[in-house]
Amino acid sequence: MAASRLASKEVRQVLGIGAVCLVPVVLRNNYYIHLANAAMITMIVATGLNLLTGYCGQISIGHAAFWAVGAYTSALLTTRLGWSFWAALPASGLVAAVLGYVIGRPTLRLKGAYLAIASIGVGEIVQLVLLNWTKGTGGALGIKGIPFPRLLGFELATEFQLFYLIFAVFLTIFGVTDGIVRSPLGRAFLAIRQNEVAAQFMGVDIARLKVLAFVISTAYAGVAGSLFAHLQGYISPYGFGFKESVGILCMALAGGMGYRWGPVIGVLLLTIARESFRYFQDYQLVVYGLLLIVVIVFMPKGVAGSVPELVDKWRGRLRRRGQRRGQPT
Amino acid sequence: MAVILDVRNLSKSFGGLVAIDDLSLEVERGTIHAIIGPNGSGKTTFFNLATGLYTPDSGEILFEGERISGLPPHVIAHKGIGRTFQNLLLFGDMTAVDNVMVGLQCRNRYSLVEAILRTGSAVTDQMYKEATKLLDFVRLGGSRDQPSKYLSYGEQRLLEIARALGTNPRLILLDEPAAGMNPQETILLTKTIRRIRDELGVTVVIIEHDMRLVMNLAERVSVLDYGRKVSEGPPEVIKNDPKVIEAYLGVTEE
Repeated sequence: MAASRLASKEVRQVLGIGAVCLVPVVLRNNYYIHLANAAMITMIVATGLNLLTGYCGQISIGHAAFWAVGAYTSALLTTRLGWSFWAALPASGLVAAVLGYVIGRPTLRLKGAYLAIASIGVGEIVQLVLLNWTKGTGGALGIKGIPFPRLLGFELATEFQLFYLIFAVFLTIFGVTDGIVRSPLGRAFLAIRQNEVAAQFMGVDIARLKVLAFVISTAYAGVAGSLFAHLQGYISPYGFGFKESVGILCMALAGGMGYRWGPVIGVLLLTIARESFRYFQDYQLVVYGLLLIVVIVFMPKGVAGSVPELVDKWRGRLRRRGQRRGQPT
Repeated sequence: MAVILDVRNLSKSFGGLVAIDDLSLEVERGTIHAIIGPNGSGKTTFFNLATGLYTPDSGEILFEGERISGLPPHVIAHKGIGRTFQNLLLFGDMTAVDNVMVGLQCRNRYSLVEAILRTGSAVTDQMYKEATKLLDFVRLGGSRDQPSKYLSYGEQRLLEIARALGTNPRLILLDEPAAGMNPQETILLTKTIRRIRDELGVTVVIIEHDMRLVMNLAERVSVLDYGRKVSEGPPEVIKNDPKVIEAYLGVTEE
């Protein structure tokens, strides 16, 4: 029985991946495929935030900074030093992770709101540097002409082609995260979120693991930044501000913190909502905010956490009603 | 018999409040050692010092001959001291078995890569089995897959003991394990604590207000009052020590 369950799980995985591979074929419209690509990149950042906040209980409202660092690293390495995309991609994750370590070490000693405020500060500082260090980052003009990735001599230049590259990277990151979450390390992260004091008496090195969770999440953001730079071909400091940081955090929250499908659901949900209301440009943020309030009030654990609970509740209610009807009075 | 925990001239104040005042104490390996005293006499502060939550102002604590005072809690846990908490600190949303598994992880140290690779179901199954064994030991096997916040108060106390035993301690510090338990639960707890010492060979230090339990269980009792040790000895002696009666009931003026 165990073997058949395993087989069916693998079959489901292959079917799922196959279905996603058909998405660009079904969408066809370049703009929609572009949205899907951007959504997958956002999912990578949100997955890191989920690990940091949902599992380890530490908040960051400055993650767009590490996304930016990844994007600029990749852009500079490929345009100025002529690196290939394949070397720049991991390098971007590494640079963001190193910065994450340098920043995480002191700030993660702070708790709750203080950590959140410090992370906002980090986000602002990085954006100011990008904006004003004209020689290094191109300042407000940003960086143009970021080359498309090349694979076996071919340039991946269309949204259609890039979809599969981004999907492959996302899948890898999702798999690694799943591995971390199921491992003793993941259990230790959860223990920190649940009760920091108790965790340390159980031998969990909370200071080290908090920094580790932060570094992993910043590395993800860095990788996502690199993909973003090569997808857009052009980056400027304006796409990586406080608004973006909050946006990604909202998506992760709406999807469900601490649930592995949470970031995926949250990003899909809010991307679709934003696009559906894009003709009401002025009210876009209002709609966005309303949606978030609805999710938080009615589904405090996010969609991934609350929907199964609600379904259980409704099922129980239906069953009870059925029983009552069946009983002789 | 060797001394497992050696406390030497320990002092700790919080602002003007002297919580522990020049406390010296020896716990022999293989004993059940009770620490009693009125509220605010420094019992829990002593546990917090011994497990690294606080660093002493002066004095030192030796565990198996090695100085542990000043080390952080997770290092002391790895050295072999487990503890429970007066005010229940469980991982509420995690199941009973997962709570114990956090403790079990203390037995091995993994690097990051190892930790990620150790996701194989064989490893998890093995840990699950060990955790179940410990839950059975404290008679909680039936609730192993329940989120710990849904357990009764008494069950949560037992779960804390199982989780602490998971860290594979040679010394376990129990902070009021019988608080909130009914008489039947307390009798079972008494047996369980005795089995921790007899079957697992773990030395037990227990803070407890339930005097019947203390007198039943402990081989040695230390009495604290205002952070000082006012009396020490076997329970029969302690029961009739005028100093102990004074600490609990005050002095009569004649």
